[in-house]
Amino acid sequence: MNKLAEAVLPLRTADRVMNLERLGSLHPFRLSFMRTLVRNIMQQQWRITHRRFDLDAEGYGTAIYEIETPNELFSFVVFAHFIDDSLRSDRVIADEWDMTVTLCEGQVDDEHLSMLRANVPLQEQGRIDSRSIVLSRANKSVRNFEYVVGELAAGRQPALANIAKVGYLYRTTAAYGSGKFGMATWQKVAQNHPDLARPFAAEMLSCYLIRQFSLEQADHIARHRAPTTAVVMATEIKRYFGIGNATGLGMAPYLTNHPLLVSRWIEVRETALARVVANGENGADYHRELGRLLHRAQQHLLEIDTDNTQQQQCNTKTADELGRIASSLARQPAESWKTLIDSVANTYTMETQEVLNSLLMEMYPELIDDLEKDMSLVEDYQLDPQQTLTDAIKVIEDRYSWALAIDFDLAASQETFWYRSEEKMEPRLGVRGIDPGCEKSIDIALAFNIRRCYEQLVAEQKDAPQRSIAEFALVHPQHRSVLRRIQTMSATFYGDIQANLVDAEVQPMHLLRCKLSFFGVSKFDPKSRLWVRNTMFQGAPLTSDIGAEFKDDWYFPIMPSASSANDGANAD
Amino acid sequence: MPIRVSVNELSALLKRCFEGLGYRSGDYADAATACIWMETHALNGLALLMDSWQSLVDGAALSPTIRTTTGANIAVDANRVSLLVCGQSLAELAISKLQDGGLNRIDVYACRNRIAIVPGIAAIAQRGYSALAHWRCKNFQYYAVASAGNAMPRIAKFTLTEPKQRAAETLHLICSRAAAEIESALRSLNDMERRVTPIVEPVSMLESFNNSIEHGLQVDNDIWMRLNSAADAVLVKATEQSRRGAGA
Repeated sequence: MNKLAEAVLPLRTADRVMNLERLGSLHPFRLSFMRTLVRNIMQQQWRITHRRFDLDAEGYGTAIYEIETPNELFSFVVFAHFIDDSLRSDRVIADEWDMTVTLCEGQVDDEHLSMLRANVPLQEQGRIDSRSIVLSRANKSVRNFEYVVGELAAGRQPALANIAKVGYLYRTTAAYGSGKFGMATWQKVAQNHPDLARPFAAEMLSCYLIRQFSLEQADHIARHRAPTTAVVMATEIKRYFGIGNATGLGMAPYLTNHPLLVSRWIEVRETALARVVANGENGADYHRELGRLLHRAQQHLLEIDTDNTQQQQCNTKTADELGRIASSLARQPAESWKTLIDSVANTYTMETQEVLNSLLMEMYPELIDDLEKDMSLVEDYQLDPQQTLTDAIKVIEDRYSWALAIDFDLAASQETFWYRSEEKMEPRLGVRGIDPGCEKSIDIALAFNIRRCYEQLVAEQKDAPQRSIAEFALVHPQHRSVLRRIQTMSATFYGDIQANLVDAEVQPMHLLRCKLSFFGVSKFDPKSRLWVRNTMFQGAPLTSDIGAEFKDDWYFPIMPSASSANDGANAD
Repeated sequence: MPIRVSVNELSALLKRCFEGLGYRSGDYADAATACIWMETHALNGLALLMDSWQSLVDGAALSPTIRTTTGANIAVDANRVSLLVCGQSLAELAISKLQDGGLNRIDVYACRNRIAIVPGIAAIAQRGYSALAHWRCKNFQYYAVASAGNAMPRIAKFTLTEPKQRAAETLHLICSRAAAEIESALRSLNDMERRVTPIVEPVSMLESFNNSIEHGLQVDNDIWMRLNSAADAVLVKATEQSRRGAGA
């Protein structure tokens, strides 16, 4: 990013943006990873074809998709299995799945396929090699899948109202990358594969292709079940199907372990918003477009089906507030987007504020799309060894006053601990003094670590104010990591997420929501404060749309009209 | 039977392994980084780890102490801490005293695994400084030297005519902003111009690193199991109650 050029933009402050509740209110936007991926696929006209589609009448077997980008060839290998209904689970600790997949570089020959067949279905228990970039799996949404296949086999299209409730045929439960289980390390992907050298691009591509396979598998089974009556799914209905996802606590430590990356993502988002505020025209055409988008987001939120009362209330309230903003703008245009944002910030919830921000950014691709290349950076946490104790104390007081303000003498401030379970190293939460494992807790208590380090610095500074941090860190290794982090993050604009993650009232859901918003997912359906179901790629173009005119407008997907949904049936 | 693992995977495992052995957060991160650096640069980090296993197990709670500081010269008592663990900290200490000119010298006493200073030397060079580490072992004088901006240190040894027993477990680290000063220090070290034998050539280190990124690393299955066994110490037993802590 061009720091000099951006320096004059009115970026929102770190105190405002890095607040955990605010981060948990973010919604997908133009530069979310799914959006960027789909733009690249469509604009660069990637070719996605079957190299192999060997499924039996029940849809079990092997498929290989080949993905030709302008730069290279990838293969996406799918193993579709029978599993007993009782073994199907969203939990990461499951060990059987309806579909297991891997995304590989290059073409897969028979020998490679044999190795993958022996290992990919085992997921975490298998070993693959550095030709693989992503390992993932998904389970059928059984009711939906059977319903859709049944309708297609009977010659009918599935009802849109049903899809609005559950907008996917499969749910993914994990997408592993970054060199796990012998796969290509991130450094290799970044160096060798420019099409995937952005955060989570390979994982997003895999989920997009799982969605593609799920749709083709449903058509395939229906055709074999009733060859004389079956119809193929209408194209518009296919687009309205996404891919489900279940996300749990595993995502939270990622955010806390990669603060430079997260800070960069936030900086990109806020820079995009600031560019729109500073330079976005706001004439009548833009007001009309914003009105259309507000109504669409409103409808999208109202179409979300969730049993979670709190989420339901949040969606209803946000939809109501978006409607009020649209009405207000129709009566009286905003003097500027800044006045609109300020007025909404004073009146409405954070959710509404952040939906509005996403919509405003949506209208100005020419102002912000170039920022997508800035989402990556090489993370390097270096100690500044020459800094004195006095200077280090000042940095903490300036940049981490939020952490120093926490009263750790209160038991509630440290009531929660995070740990890794022996079951697939799944991160879990425990309550101090009640749950076992506190002595093995994950080092996630940044605010507490800063407090301890600060107190030690203050104690030693009295005698040696000019002592170097290097000397301090040599003899106090327990503070070395947090000092590297403090020094590194204090050089960034947004710094760390401002939250005490071991507080009794911690809401990990906010962390999950934050990361998922950057992924670009929608339709959050929390199952507890610890895990959430959601939908990816709903409304996104299909592989068969590649080459056709592309309107990059599939965000906040809404139910298609009945007439458009039936257009294109049998056309595939 | 070897197992092929990625650099990221081994790095994450090593962190958990050192954490499982009881090392503190700064230490386990640095130890894992040093070990993976050596393994990917043809310096057999895992073999060193295995050879030193028991002392590493016993030394988790130890920390170096600073004996004296005189201007730009510092004497450190490593208290038998492995340089796998404290090499990076010593490199940072070496940089901390640098002024605009001159040398900064650190004498480290009672340290283990002195070859493990090499990742620290590389780190100093990456930050734009030059450094020389040298130590004596049996009949040999060893050294590792790197110039500013040059990621691959030169590591070599030559035979000593008069080995000094007292030099065991001692290492000297010299750092400067000026590469010429370090080259001069190296010439003084080998003032008799004795024949030097490289431990590993810089070009081989680079080749090894690139190969590790491209194809991963081969790890002996027994070593893999041992690392995993140590790393398992950070995991908590699963119960029905603990499953509720994941939202089940």
